[in-house]
Formats: sequence, C-alpha cells, structure tokens
Amino acid sequence: MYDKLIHKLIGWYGQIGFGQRKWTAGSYTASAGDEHTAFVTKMAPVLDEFETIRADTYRTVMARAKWMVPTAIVASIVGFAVLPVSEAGDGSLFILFGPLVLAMTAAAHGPSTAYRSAFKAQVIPHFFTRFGLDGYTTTPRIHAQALETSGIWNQAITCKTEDEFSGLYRGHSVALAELRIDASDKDSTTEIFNGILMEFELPREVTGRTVIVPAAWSSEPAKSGLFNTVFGRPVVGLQPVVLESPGFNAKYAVKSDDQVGARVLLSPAFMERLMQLNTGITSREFESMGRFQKSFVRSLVAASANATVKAALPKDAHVLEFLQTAKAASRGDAQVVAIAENGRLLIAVPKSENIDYFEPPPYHVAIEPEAVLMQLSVDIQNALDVADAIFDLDYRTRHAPTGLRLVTEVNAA
Amino acid sequence: MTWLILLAALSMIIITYIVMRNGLVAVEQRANASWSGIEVQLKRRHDLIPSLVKSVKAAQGHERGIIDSMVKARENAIAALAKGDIKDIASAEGALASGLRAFVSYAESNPQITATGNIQTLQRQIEDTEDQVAAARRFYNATTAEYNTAIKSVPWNVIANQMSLSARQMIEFTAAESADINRVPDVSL
Repeated sequence: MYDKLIHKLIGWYGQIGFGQRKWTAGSYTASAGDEHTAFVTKMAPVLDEFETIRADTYRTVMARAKWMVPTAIVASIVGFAVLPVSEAGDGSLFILFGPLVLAMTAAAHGPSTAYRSAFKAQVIPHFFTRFGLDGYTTTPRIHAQALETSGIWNQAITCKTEDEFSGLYRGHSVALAELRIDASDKDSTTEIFNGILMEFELPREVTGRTVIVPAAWSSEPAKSGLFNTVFGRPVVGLQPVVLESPGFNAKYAVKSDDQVGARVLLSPAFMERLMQLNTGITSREFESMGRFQKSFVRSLVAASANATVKAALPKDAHVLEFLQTAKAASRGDAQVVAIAENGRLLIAVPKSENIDYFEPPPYHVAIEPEAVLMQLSVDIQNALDVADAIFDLDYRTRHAPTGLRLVTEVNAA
Repeated sequence: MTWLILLAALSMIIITYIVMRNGLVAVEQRANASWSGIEVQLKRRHDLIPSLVKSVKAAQGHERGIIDSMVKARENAIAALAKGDIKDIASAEGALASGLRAFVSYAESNPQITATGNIQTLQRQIEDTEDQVAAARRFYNATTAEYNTAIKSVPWNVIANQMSLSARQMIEFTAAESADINRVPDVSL
C-alpha cells in the first residue's frame, strides 16, 4: 500500500520532468519493412541494457522517497503546529505541499538527471545513426551565436545548446541540437524559446544574410503598399523583403542584405514548405487523429480555415482536437526562426505541447521497446522533415531518395 | 500674419514636393538596381556556354544539335542584351534557358557526358545561375510593380509626369519555368 502511494507520487512528479507523452506500446505499428526489423533486432540489447538503468533509477528514487516523503509530511505537520493556518496566510499552501515537493526533488533529481543523460548517450545516438547522423557530442559546436548577434530580439539573449547530433543526411552536412534561449533585462531572465536548433549546409548558392522570423515578432514587418514602398525602407543594413506570397508575408517577416539572395533561398516551393511546417503536424497530432489518414488530415488543415467547411465536418472528438491544434499552430505557436549566411542555414524549431524531443520515457514504468522505437524515430523524422524541405529545394537532389522514412499507422482502436 | 501663413503653406508644399520627388527617385533607383542584378546574372549565364561547348567539343549527332542551338541562342541573347529591349531580351533568354534545360536533361540521361568532373562542375554552375536568374527576375518584378504603382498613383503621378517616368515592362515566366520554380517536392510531412 505504502509502496503504491510512493509509486504514484513518483509518477506524478515524473510527469513534470518527462512530460505527458504516451509511451504505451501499440500506439504505433510500424510497416517500414526489413530495415525496421533489422533496427529492432539491433536495438533489442541496447534497450534491454537501458531497461536495467531505468529499473535501477526507479529503485534508487523509490528507496530515497520512502524515507524522504514521511519526513516531508512530518515537516508539514510541524510547520502547521508552529505556525497555524490562520497566521500562515498565503504561506499555508507552501507549508502543506512545499516539503513534499522538496522531498520528491531531493529524491529524484540526481538519479533522473543521470537517467536522462544515459538515455541521450546510449540510446538516442543509435536512432540518429539510423538516419545518417552518427556524430554525437554533449558540447555542441553548432553556431548558435548567430542568433545572439542577429538583432532579432530587442533584448539581450543567451542561447544554450546541448546534445548535438551531426553527420551527413542525404549527402549534406547537418547538425542538430537542443536549444534554449533566455532573454535578460536588468531585473530578470526569462525563457523565450525552447526547441531544436538545426544547421544545414545549403545545397545551393545563397548570397548575403537573410533572417526569417514570425511576423508577430518583428517590430517592422515587411509591408507592401504605396507609402511603405516610397518611404518605408531603411537605407542601410538588413532591409525588409516583401515576397509574392501574401500568406507567407502575413506569417513571416523576412529581412536581408541581399534581396536576390533572399529570393534564391525563399523560392515559392520553400515558402510553401515553411508554411506547411508551420501547421505543426507532429506525431502527437497523428496520434490524436485516430483512424484518419494523412491525406485527409491535409485537407482538414486547408478546410479548418473555412468556417462553413469546418461546420460541416463530422463532430468527431479526434477531428475537433486536431482542428484545435491546427488553430493553435496557425496563431504562430509552431513558427520557426531562420538565419541564412555563408552558405549555411540555421533554423530554430520550437517544441510543441510542452514535450521535449528526445527525452526518455518516464522511469517509474517499464520501457515498452516498440513504443520507444517508434516514438523516437518519428521525433527524428519530424525534425529531419525540415532538412528534407531544404534539400528538396535543390533539383539536383529532388529525385534522390528522401532519406529513411517510416510509415506510421495508428491503431483504429 | 497672412503672409506668414502663406509662407508656411508654400514651404509645406515645397517640402512635400521634394520628399515625394525623392521618394520616386528612390523607387526608380531600386527598379534600376534590380534590372542591373538581372543583367549580371544573364551575363554570367552567357559566359558559361563557351566552357560548356569546349567541354563537349567532340559532341556528335543529337548532342551536337543541342550544343549548336544553345550557341545560336547565346548569340541572340547577347545581341538582345546589348540592344536593351526588354521584350527581345526576355524572348532570347527564354530560348537560351530552354537550350540549357535541354542540355542538362540530355546530360542527366547520358552518364558518359556527366562522367567528367568538368561537366559536373559546369552543370552545377548552370543550375546555380538559373536559380540566381529566377530570383533576380522575381526581385525585378517586385520592384517594377512598386515602381509602376508609384508612378500611376495620385498625387505621385503628377511628379512622375514631370520627371517623364513611364511604366515598365514586367518579365513573365514561361509555363515551363513557372513549373520548375513552383515545383514542390513530394515529401510527406
């Protein structure tokens, strides 16, 4: 009984650290053929070994929590005895729950950090190697400073990267790392971005420096119209680039010191790709959509902008959930930031739904190997979709194989 | 007092006129600069053809026909660019671009042609140049649209008339070029 209670507490606390992702086996079924079967076979001993680490982590946290939690409860009782609720005022909630949270943190922090590191060092690299990215380092070399010096944000920002994976994807150099951006003023530091930063060698000659940000972030969004045409342009530095697509201009502000170079990068095809990425369709949306197929999903994305069509859609919970997600994405929740210069493109993609990419499954339940295999593959595939979008710009590689792609299907049940 | 008001009004009119005129000059300059950008890329395209011809000088049969028509198209394009008539340039460059596309397509389907490193390098340069030409043309069309709108709008049209500014021709894409530029690769998200 007591063990069950502590187990529940660990699960509850783990959700804070490891998100709400479902890691249940059977969420996905793979139909990627022999390559997938070979990968499953290759990963079996790796995941078995990691299961041992997970079990050890769980045992350690459990053992610590077993004595720390009662201590915390005693501390709460003592706290109330010394300082009655009537006198504690707003502090009563802290007296009630604070010791418990502190106890859980003390019990879980060290082991869960080690567990997370072990996952990133021992499991994740195998998945990236599957996609051709066989370099892994905990001290990223990715050029995140370009974001700091970009002038995109009005405040001073600090970029922190960790866990870089790099290698050749479809014949081009690619590096990918987790990115967190903090903005500071004289009083405080606030996290303003959390996601993935990717760096690509551009497959075509792109001159100058081009910066792409969500239009809502720009203090001087690119505007057409006579007054802006005649008077609205800065004389030096990065100048607004007004592109042919009104939809793209509404979502992204582009500035560049080379108007032609910016248009080489932002071909109509690439603009369309960025708009598609902006719909924020991820594995989780596919999961929530139950039995619906990708093609139907795409038509829903288009239809969701039309109130009449939306009203005519079946009142299925999965559809409605998806539409809400698509609506959130259309507000800009999943927009990217990109900088192209010196033949390279840096692109920062925010994480969605408060779930970190490449995080391990919670350690309080046994690992389901098939769920881990599929979820991580889909995570990496989603990230590499951005790379595909860029490399497919280049007609030299348009007909080349598009890397490894898995077909994911969702159980009808 | 009346004199002061008249003087202020006159000053306002003069300042507005100067600002508007300078604005139009800036728009015209941007359009001119964007045209220069196209010229640079077209010359780069023209300069690539001799190297290409030299690399496949032993060409025969169908290959020879493609090369010869490309050389002819290049001569026409250089002449049109020197003349400066935008319609002639567009037509001549369209023919040259078709010739280059035909060569690239032929080379892709005949590995013995692309086996030499020189042809591969040239092919890459051609593709990069085509990207640059397409982008320069998009920029030119954007600035020309701004310019045309500016000189036709009230009250700028009055000043534009005084400056003898006239509407400029945009460059249209051929159906094949549009298909190339707008082709979205079939990669599912």
